[in-house]
Amino acid sequence: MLALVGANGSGKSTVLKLMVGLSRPTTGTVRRTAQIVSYVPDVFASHDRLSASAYLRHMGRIRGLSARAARQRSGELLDRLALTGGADTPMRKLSKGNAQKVALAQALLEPPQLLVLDEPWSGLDTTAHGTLRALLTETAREGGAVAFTEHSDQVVKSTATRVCEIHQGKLIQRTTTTPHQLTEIELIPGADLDWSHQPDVLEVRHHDAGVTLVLPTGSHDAALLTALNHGWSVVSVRQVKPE
Amino acid sequence: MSALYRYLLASVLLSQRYLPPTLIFLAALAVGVTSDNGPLQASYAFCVLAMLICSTWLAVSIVNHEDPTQRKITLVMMGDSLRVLAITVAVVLTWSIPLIAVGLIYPIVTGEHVITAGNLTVGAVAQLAAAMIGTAIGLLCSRLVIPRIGIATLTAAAAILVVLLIRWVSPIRPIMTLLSNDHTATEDAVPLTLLTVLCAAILAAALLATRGIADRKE
Repeated sequence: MLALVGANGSGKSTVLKLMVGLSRPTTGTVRRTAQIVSYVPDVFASHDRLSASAYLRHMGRIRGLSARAARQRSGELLDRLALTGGADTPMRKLSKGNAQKVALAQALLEPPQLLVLDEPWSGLDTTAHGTLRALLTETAREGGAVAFTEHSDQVVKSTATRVCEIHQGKLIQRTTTTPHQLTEIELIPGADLDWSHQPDVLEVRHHDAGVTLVLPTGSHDAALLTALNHGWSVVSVRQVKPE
Repeated sequence: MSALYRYLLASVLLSQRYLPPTLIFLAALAVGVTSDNGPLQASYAFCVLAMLICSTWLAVSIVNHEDPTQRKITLVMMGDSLRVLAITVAVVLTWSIPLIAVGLIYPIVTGEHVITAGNLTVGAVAQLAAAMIGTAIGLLCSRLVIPRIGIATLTAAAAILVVLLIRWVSPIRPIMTLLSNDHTATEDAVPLTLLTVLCAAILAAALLATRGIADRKE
């Protein structure tokens, strides 16, 4: 699970495009052994009148899935990513975040050998953040290589196993990391509080009894303090291993 | 490959981008061929002109229809930009087929002509040749080659005029001359076949050129 980090215009997206064959190197060569390659662009704003589910079924068929498998897999992915408004929403009417979810779903219709994502967390709600991290981890566990760009240090630290920092088109640092230990905090709601906008919160899971937050271990103290200050009750705090 | 064809066709049909060029084609036939009682092949010469304009517009519309980010996804999925472009051309030509049928039937329905199988074949082949040249112009004037729509429109209009006015720039002018002569369909068969093959070669060259330019721009 490789994260490419660096300032805007440093060349991260160009590296991704070279990886998937959308750009050709002016010098040097790109060697790629993966046959099944998936790509998620940084912005996905389709003007298509096809519904999200029809679009994904077509993409699945292009991938070589049977009609039934394409329908089933696209349904599963849209359910997991919780596409707001339903799978029958025309692509052109999807919000940025929902369009991003469809872009992610198309990339995962068939388990890719190489999955390349350009700022995939951008525009996603915090609930989908956790789902995306889980999907990427599953892809890596099934033997796929995952490469993504991301600006959030927390996301990189909680997801990537290798980090490459790029500056002006040059690799300036390469590190191997262990994804950060995560902490889950289970809470019973008090006063109104939108956890999706709280710093360091990687995932928010709503359930009948309350809310479960996922944060990098070490940065959960601030979240606990915020919860208590807003009259929320803490049910449990436990460390979880990254998936 | 057929899955991409079905996707592009469905997407284009829902977008209704085919509608303006189709209406222009029908309007041109209504103005230029209605109640024409001359030789049938001469009527088909006008259909060739209308098909050239319509298929150019159609090709630009269909190639430009796919969103640039979606195109990147499709390219990565297919792994070969030439295949993607060839399938897009197949979609354009697919839409041209019912128009060719309309172009064949309309002069017969609205005028009085001597109808032979040879005349119909010549009319169909000539319009197919025009569709191929129109598609070639459309490819080279699409967003993949000319990103600015204003410049692309002017270039396409200029290209159509050049193709129509200057002999031997493309096979279209010779085809129209052939249809306007008093030859029989049998006499026109061989030169028309050769000219159509030349049109197919020009379309293939335009496809390769568009692919080369588009790939370099990525």
